[in-house]
Amino acid sequence: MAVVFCFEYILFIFETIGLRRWRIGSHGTVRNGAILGKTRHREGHTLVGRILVIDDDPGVRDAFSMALEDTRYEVVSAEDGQKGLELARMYEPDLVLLDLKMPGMSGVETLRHLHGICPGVPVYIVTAFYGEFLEPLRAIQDEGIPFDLARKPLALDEIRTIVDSVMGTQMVTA
Amino acid sequence: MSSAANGQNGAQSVSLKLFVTGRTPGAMRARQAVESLLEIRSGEGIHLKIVDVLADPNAALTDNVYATPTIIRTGGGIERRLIGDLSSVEKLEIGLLLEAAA
Repeated sequence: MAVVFCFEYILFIFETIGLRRWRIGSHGTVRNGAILGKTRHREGHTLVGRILVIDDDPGVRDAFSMALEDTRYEVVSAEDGQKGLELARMYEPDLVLLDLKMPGMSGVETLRHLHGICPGVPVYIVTAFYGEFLEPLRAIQDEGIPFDLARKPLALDEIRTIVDSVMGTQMVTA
Repeated sequence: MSSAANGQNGAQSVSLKLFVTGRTPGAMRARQAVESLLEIRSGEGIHLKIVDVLADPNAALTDNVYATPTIIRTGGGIERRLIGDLSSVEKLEIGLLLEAAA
């Protein structure tokens, strides 16, 4: 009885401070304010994909979350490569949006590790389209690690278009 | 209008620009589908340019391409941009409104 009361109290606190965005499915468990489990819902919508955003800029992470809120995608984000890899192991994302230039583990190194953790998961490197920025990516391409490119900065509708095009495995009018 | 801008039927020719990232599987599928499309419609004078954004990022900036793979169709008074899975010839034809250009 006390356990049930405590659980309800925790949910009430989450609801109150606006963190409880997710309704728990029949097999879901709460972790870090998100839901892990077989059934995922948000505001009555079945979630169709998990997007992992790895970027040291909080403004960029917020932009991705904002662009994809009220959609059928769940967004989890990390501020560096190391944490991004932990989330990749934990959340098994369907798509990764990865910054190239980050303090600590670089985007290229993070991409290498991601390829080992979740091979086959599409990765978009989000970066400025300048030659010197792209130089490290030419080398990793020769290692056979697939990725696509997205230009930084991205508008909100551009973020949604990219995610829709990957998650829907279809062409989208850009 | 110059003759170089005209297809065999006299209509303004269609140009396609495909922006990809290197030789990733998605890029290769897109290349194959677009080349197959051109083979099927070989009599229509469709021009194709393939841009590897890793090698030529400025081209992507010039055409305001924000993600790969993207294909841009111009010509015939139509501009269309498609992004994502470009591996289906049929969907490319429909998405790029090529039937209208034939």
